[in-house]
Amino acid sequence: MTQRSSRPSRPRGPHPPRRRTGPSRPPVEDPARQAALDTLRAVRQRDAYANLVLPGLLRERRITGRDAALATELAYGTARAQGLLDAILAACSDRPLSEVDGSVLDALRLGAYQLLRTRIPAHAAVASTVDLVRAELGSGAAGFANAVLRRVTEQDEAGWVEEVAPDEDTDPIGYLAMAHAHPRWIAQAFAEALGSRGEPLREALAADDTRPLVHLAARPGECSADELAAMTGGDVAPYSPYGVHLEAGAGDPGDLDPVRERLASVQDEGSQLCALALTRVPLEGSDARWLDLCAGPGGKAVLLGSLAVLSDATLDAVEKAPHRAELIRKAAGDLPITVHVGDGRDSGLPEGGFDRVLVDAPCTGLGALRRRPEARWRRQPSDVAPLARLQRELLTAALGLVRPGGVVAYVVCSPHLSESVGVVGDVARRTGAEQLDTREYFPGVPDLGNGPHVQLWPHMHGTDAMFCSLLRRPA
Amino acid sequence: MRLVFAGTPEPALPSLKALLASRHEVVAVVTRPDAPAGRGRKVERSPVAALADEHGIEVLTPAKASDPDFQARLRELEPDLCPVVAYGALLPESALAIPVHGWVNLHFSVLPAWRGAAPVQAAVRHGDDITGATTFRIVKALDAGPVYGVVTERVRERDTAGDLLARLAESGAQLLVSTVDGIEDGTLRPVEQSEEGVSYAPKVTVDDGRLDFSAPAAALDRVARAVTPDPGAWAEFRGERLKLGPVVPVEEDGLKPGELRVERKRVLVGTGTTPVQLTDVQAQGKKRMAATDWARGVRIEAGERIS
Repeated sequence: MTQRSSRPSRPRGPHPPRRRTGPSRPPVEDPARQAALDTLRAVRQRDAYANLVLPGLLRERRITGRDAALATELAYGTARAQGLLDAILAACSDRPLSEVDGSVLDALRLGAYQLLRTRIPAHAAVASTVDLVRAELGSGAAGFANAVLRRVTEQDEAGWVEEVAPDEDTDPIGYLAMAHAHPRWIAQAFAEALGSRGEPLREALAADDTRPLVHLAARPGECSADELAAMTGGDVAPYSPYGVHLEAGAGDPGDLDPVRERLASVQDEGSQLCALALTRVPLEGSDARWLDLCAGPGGKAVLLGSLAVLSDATLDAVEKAPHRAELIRKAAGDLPITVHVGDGRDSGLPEGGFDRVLVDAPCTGLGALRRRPEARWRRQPSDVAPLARLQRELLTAALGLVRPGGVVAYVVCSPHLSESVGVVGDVARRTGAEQLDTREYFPGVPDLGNGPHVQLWPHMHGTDAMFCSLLRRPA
Repeated sequence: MRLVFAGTPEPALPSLKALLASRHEVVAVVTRPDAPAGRGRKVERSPVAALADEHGIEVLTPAKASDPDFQARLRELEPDLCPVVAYGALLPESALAIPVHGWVNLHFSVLPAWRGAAPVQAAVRHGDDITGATTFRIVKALDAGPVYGVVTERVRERDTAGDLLARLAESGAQLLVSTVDGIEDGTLRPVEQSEEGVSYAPKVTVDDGRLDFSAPAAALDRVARAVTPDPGAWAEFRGERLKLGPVVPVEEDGLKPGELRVERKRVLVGTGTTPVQLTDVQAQGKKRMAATDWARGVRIEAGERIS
């Protein structure tokens, strides 16, 4: 802080120092931890998204390289583990966390995360966190933070889990939820989708609790996955012919040359596979008009639009929010995509006017928690029912917009049965739509279960937990 | 011809020097923006920018080549041809169209082998006997344009990627000048690359330099030479990262993978086959030193391993 040191010193007055602060320390320059802390505060105070706030802070403050990597690991890791960290902090604090100042709590979470889930030495994790608290809130708060964090250091993560988690024998789901830092209701939803509360659930939660690779999609017709891997240093993805996996580094993948030059976009491999599945179903008759009914912000629309070019088809894209529709227009470039602003349930588009329709419906996002650090603590069980109603209405509308014999892909990034199997079964029954064996259109992808739907999982496929079901309108 | 040269790191320098000494006129250079580098994160001028400064040549550093201001300036410069050596970023079609004769790239492999960012490292890592340098016209697909000329170069037994790249940078510079001459004279007809034999050489990451001592000695030797000097080979010793120089296979036996044996004049490590000898090492926060000095300092115990 050069401004501080260049300020002229205060005239010496007769008044005593305002407060006794103990041995004075030079201000510590710790841009990485400060950025992580500021991100956590924005998440707590403004319901901000960590993965939108942090990249902006890093850019603004010119934090790059190792500092940026550290800030990312600490901010996202802390946000992801919050529930577990809070349970441990509560056990280490002599007052309830609800009475702890919010800023102090952010710092405690940040400190506890470093102690339990990183290789940062304990003394450094404690000292750096206490310094942040002292700089902002004074030495009283710093003393409290110091005392709590020292208690956290008394055990490692496994030791604390044993102490704060429910008993494994009587409540296996509650135990695994705590051990892998998930709210219990989400672990319960995973267990139901997996049909297991044992080892498969543990693997699913563990995979969901790790930092995911960055997935890129090479734009069909513009660049191959091989080329994209060579340009980015990534690895060709196992299942999507357009996919590349990239180690999650410090940088914003949006800054990669091939992404900026529109040769590729950032997109989970599971999303790519679901969009591709729609295009792979054979059709009798015309195949020239495709529709993406819930298109914002446009990832799948661009992939479908590129594939449409290769098949001499065109794509219509419907999006309710004007600013998201604008994002699609920008991303579409010169692809044959027509963007409509409107509600997919009542789009005004011609009934039976389309050969293939994608419904990538709004959902709880429980399948993409890896990529949205704080989302698991913000989502509520009560979010599910209204979303499921919206999903049924959208899928019903899609089956009206597709021509007889045409095909609809219903996709959500959630394994919650109410949003996936429940929606498809209900709508198919009421509309008479035929459920196709969706697994056939995910060639080469293993472990797809008994069908007819496809549920992908991070621990089995390395993708988000995407659900896909293909339906045909009776001819 | 009027040339605008695009390049960034050290291996681009022999080409720029050769073009400066040629009958052509280098009117500007394009280079990646100054980036913080090294200890202390000082902002450093790229080697190409520094050489251009010495010769009083205009330096353009667009953050991306699709930047309209950059392209406007490039148009004003009216280049006949833009030679490129290790520029380090993609060129969009809007930029490709500006020079009369397009952009010509010097790539350090015999195309279509090892398209991509790290062809020399790939050649060493895969144990190629012969590699080389190729000049080709840049098209939108990665390193896929038609070829003007090729020189070949033998990969020597103890070559590191750095050694080989230094030789290719020199021989490639001569190829680039004769390619530019030939384009001006109209005597060169570029030939489309074969679709067979295409391979890709992705960027090399720090993880690629990690040595897995359960691999055969010959493979470890190639990997270590391929990542030297950059980003460097490494392994873990007592839970900390230890940077390693090249490793040399020796004809002996009796060590388990990763097991260390310290002798008076050498330090051996077991592999999946026969052991390798460590040359130099660098512990965290220490200087690079001979492996024997390091081993004496840390007092390696019998049976201790590196992994």
